Amino acid sequence: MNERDILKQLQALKVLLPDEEFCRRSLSSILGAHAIKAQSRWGVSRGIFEMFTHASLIGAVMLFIAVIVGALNYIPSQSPFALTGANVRGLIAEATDIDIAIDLPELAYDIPTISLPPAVKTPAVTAGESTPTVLSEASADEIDRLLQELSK
Amino acid sequence: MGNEYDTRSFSMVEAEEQIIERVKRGESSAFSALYTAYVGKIYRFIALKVSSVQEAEDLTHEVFLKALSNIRKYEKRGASFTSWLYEIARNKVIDHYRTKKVNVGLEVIDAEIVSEDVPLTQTLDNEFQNERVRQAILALPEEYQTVLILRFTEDLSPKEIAKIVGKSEGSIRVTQHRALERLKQLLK
Repeated sequence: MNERDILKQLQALKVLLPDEEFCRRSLSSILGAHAIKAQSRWGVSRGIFEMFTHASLIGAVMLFIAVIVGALNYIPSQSPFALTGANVRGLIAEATDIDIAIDLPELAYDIPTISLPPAVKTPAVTAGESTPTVLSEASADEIDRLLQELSK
Repeated sequence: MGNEYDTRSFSMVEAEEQIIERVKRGESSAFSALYTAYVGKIYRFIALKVSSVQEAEDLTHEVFLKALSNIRKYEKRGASFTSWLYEIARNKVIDHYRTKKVNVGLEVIDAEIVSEDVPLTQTLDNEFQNERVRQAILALPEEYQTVLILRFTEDLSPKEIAKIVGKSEGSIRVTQHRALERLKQLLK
């Protein structure tokens, strides 16, 4: 066999082709295997996706409930929380009539004494006495001057 | 020759690139077109390197399975999609022989089939001739096989073969010459 014959023979090997039935089976098997692989990969991402979907669903339900409760409170007559047997006006009147007097014991302040000029010296606060009125009576100029002095 | 998996059913490079892009985007059904276009070439390349149809079919199947799984890694950098498939096929065959350790078996085939005792006359039918050449190719070293099949059966250029084998064009030309000489000796 010379070189030319060998080359001819090598060309003739082109007739070698796969069985059609094998090709069909192989192709469907490859596509099937790939689909399963893609599905399992999607399975993980689907889990995460579902988690977010559920969270947002719960959020939406909570928001809906909040809106409903808010709306019902805005319309008191429709509110399920309204006490139908209660006389609201009577209760309000009764509440305003209540006079609660609380006696506070003498308060001891642990504040270092600041030497203030005699004009603005605060009188001692005692129970029952009126609130010092020195500052309220002082003019705006006096307040400025006092602040400047204090800041020195 | 009416086989639908004949390599000539696919020729447009532009269409091929579009199909590859579709497969890359996850449209695995588009892979059917690539499979149909190239299964003939890949099967033939493998069948000329292994001793049985069963092995050739199994390896061809594995090549396309791997191609689909790794298609995102394929980038057209001078090498065609066919070259990429041939590269996968070549590695599969090498791995196949490495794991099965059938090198000794090939030597036996060489001695039996390509012996002087085989009557070779003009009356021998083409099928027998083809089988004889196939067996002679099987007796060659792996690189010689690859270069001969790709160069003379698949009509690839030395440049394309160089990319598949990972060697220089000059080296491929030298290998091609040596492989032909060796084949000539085996078919004497």
